[in-house]
Amino acid sequence: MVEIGHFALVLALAVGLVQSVLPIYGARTGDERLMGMAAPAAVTVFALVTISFVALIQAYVTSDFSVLNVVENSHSAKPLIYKISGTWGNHEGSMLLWVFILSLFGALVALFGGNLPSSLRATVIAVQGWIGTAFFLFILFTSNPFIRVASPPVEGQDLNPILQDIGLAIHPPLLYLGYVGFSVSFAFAVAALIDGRVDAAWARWVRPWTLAAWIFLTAGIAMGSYWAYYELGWGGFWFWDPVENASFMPWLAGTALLHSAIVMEKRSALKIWTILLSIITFSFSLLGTFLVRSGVLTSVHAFATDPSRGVFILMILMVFIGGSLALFAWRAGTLTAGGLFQPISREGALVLNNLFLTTAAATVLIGTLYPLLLESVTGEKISVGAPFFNLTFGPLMLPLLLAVPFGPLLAWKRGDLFAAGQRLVAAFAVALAAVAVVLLFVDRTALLAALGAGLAFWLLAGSLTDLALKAGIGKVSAPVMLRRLRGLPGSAFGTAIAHFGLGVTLLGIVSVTAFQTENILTMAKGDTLPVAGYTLRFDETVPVQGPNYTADEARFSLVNAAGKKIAGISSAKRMYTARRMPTTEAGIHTFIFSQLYVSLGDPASNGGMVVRIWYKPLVTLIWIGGLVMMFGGIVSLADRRLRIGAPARSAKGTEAAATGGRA
Amino acid sequence: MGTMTIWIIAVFLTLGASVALLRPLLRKQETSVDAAAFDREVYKDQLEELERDEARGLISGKEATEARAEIGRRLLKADAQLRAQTVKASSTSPRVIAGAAVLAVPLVSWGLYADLGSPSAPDQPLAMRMQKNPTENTIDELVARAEEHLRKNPSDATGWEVLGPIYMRLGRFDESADAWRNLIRLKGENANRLNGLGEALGAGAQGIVAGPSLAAFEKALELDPANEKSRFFVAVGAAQAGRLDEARTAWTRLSEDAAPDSPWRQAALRAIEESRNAPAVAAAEAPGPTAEDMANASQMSAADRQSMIAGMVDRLAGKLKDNPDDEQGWQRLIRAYAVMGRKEDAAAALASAREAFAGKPDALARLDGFAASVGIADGAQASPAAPGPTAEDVANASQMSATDRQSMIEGMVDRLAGKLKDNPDDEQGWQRLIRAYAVMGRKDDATAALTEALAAFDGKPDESGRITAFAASLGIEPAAKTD
Amino acid sequence: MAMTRKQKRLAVIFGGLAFLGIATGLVLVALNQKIVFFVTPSDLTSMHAEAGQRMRLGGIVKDGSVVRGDGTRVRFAVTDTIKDVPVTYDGILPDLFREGQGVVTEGLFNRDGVFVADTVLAKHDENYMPKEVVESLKEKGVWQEGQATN
Repeated sequence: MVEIGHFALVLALAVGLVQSVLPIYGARTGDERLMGMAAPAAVTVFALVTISFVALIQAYVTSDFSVLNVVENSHSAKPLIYKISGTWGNHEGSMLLWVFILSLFGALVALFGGNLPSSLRATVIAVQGWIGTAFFLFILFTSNPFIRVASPPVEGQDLNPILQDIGLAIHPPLLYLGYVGFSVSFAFAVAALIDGRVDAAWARWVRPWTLAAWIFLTAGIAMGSYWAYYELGWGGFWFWDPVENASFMPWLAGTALLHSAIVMEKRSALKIWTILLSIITFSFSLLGTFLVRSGVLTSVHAFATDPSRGVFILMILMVFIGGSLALFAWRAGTLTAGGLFQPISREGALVLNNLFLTTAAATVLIGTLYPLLLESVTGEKISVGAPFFNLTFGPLMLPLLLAVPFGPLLAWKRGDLFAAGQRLVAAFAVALAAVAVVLLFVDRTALLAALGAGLAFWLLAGSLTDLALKAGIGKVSAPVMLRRLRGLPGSAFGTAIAHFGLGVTLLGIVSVTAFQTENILTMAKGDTLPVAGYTLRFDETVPVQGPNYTADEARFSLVNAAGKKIAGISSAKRMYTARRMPTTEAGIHTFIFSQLYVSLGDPASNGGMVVRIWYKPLVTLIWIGGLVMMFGGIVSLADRRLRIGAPARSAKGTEAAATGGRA
Repeated sequence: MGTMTIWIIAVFLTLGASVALLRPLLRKQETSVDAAAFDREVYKDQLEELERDEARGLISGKEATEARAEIGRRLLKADAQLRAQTVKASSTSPRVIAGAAVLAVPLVSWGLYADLGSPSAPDQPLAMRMQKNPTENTIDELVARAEEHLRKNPSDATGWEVLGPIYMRLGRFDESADAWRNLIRLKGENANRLNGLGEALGAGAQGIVAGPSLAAFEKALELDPANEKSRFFVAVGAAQAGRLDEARTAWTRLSEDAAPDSPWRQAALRAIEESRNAPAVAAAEAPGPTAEDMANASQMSAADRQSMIAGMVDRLAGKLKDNPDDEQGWQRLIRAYAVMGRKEDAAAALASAREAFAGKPDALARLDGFAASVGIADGAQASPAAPGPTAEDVANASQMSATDRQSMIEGMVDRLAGKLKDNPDDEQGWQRLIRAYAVMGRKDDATAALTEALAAFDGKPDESGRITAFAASLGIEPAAKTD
Repeated sequence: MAMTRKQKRLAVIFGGLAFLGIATGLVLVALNQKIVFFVTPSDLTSMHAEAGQRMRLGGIVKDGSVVRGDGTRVRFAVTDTIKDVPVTYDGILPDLFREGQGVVTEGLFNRDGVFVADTVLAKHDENYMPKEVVESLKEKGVWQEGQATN
């Protein structure tokens, strides 16, 4: 099975070469049969990579230590779920996951691309083939997970313990679905440049793919943030770590792309910009892969430090980013300009959104790469951390967030800012009320936090206002409103929901940043600590034997004012046997949206334990907001999907058009 | 899965992929449908959407009219494109091109796989390896199977009994000791089990029979005063503790009591012999080959024993390369070579040991004394006063691989040479440099350094005298005067 | 809105440039003020670390230097084998903080020349040596004596 997987991967490379060349040749010469090879080639590659990926998973599940990759990253005593997720918990396996997802998207374009002109479809699939071929070569020659060991050992070296978590099973696949999903918009952009033809229809075709990628990336980032929060034991949700930035940059660019594609679809404007943004977004995805995989940046995530890999990925980056930008510079001039609009209009608002988001992405890029640049030029070593991003990214986000509720209320072509403002009076009142509530009831001195909360409620109320206005509030009766609400297109709902989610996340961030309390103290058995209106009591320390680790588990009780135990919290220090590596498992108790977070330190001299206890008010809103944004995307995609369901009609139309064309 | 099966599946995969690629080529050439027709579909859909929005009152009538006009223009443009479009002539011979390309698929894939793959390597899931016929298992696998079994049945005494000696043979002494302890816990103490434990503990302590190891043998002797193995090792413990007479007496009695064919008789006689050859100091300080090795060796034929000892010594030498801080190890190695008559190797070992302990005069003195006691002298004897590389250098070096260490030492020496060029008054520096070259076998460089040093101390008879004497002790003579 | 198309385009371009100017200014200010330099103990003499200057100090936790005080206070020394710097830290040390292992601490010097760290990072790998630490040690020649002749 292992060798079948290896062979399938090599065969996928061979078929990928065909996929890269013949369809696009057909598209350039107008040969339908060659173009027709695109879809079967993409599906075949997907089938082959699936075989390959399944073979590797199988090797992990059965602890086949004749495979070097399994020896280096697995252990027979590891629970099944971590054996499976361990497949992509290392460089080689994660690259295989990457091409697996890439080939999945290729196959999806092949299967659901019936509503695309055949030359566009063939070119898009061929461009995907280029990316796939480059990564197949990369995997086979620098990161081959199928290398065998002549005399297999009887035990593996185990997976890095911090990666032995359910988070790893979910986070990288979601993130890659996002990263790689943007390869479709990239391929569409390159195809448009090659064709020299791009119009409103292009935006309509590209939108569901962008949206899908964005949904996965949003989920992946939220998931990764929560994973880091509870697994690393630092209690932080965002560290501005280079690897986090690497996933955040494509998200910012992708969000911009999502918005600019709306303008292109509706008004046929911003065409060149949208094409460029598609290229930039995927470039950020590739850069993210590079930053994480090459070990260039010191980071928790950098599991590869092999320079030959770095050089190879650098070549991939240069070919795809440099090549596509050169193509853009060469061909962008042939694209025709689109519709006109006034600065104050829906289009204007979306341009503003793009301006802020791309500039924000640029500041993140600078903050991430500047240390590398400085070191290679002057040799000085610096670190760019949260203070930098707070000073640059923060001020850029502030006006953007203030402007968000206005956007959907402005009309296309020319809007009325004053009228929009009038309609938002209620939302503004809600925001003011939030500021007042925070100042009066929570903390009189926390002015910034109050303003932050006000901004969050401005977003929440603003998106609800949008929906209420679309339902015709104040103009029609309640039953009519309800009916109109139900009839609203999914994209309208999606916008409002996603903007609402943004407010939810912001509220969580503001609340945790301003109002979390932290205690670091030594606790002995029976010690108590008052926290958030409860009492936390340290009960005992118990040794625990896990499947591939031993642990000392500290057990705490949460006692309410009446002296009744309402919950048990346990936090543990684990020692993973194979790697002799300790980890800390945080104990978390959730009260609806807030959390009590207990993390163990070292044993203290007096027999107690050093314990770090946070009360994090409304912290879960940060990730719930991400989920809400994601849900907004799904609602919007569902709407699109209905209309993309046009293939049947489209096919009929095509025949009619074809006959018409001949007539 | 056999190799054959893999090839068959590979053939099917290749065939399947090729057929999937070729199928579209077999179809009749269709007229290409112009892209504009697809655009038209989108615009029609946009018009419908616009009407729905207007009906719901989402956009004003004026906005809708404008938008409708815009979409209408796009629709007209697409229609115009469509009409202008003539059916493209199909290109001349795509079938040939495509056919050639598809043929490349098996070539590329089989060629590359032949290079990268290991088709003859079967899958080896751990569970399967654990279940196959034990005769096909490697020792590691057998041990893993036994471990697996004992994890599930930790009170299976037989398992521990089997595993104890196996661990011992694999050099996993601590685990062997654990196995013996488990066995003793389950089945109680007897001389045999205690001997096993003592051996494992002794081997784990680099062959020193003392502390818990000695205690185990003594306990065994209590339980079975006639036990030859226990008697032998208790005597080894005494010898290692410096009570040579007591040890010799014990061994002599053992050789008298034991049956003529008993391995312990041989071992005891040999031990007596060795204790006579080596001066008391050496015997007290330097443990012999591990007791286990000796015991094993005594049960073997002479040739086997010889080769086993040679192997053992080589292993020890290898270990010391990686871990040159082991003073006792060096003593054992030097003595082993000396006993085996390999005097040159012994001298070389002493030189390496001196290199490892350069800068530690105490250790050097002990080593030199010990080597002298077994009749080995380093070609490069140095006065203990001559400072070597700093202790830190050595400490660092000991954590490096052999080649790294080699190149580090060379770098260090070169740096020293450079420093002396700038600062030629450093007498000790010159001594260090000469010694370093001598130890590294770079005699010519050593001679050259001596010449330079003498030039530097020209007119200072005290210094030049000391340096000349020091160099002479290393076997370095000044070059013949050429002026 | 009586602007011509050209005027409008100019306005948009100028608006965009002004915006980019502000953003660039922010980035430059932030790069000036908010970055933290990475140093090893022996860099300090040459960098004349004044009290109050925030920095990252990296090196190896000196063997035998870790002293745990009351509660969560810890004292240890960071060394690059050439020089040692005393460090105090109040908080929970990372799981892989060990003597003889690489460490990066962030904080500032007090007037007594003691580095008061508020962050201590030791990465999550048993063989991990922070990249900056390795490179600095190499620069100091502590690691590369072997290459001196090459």
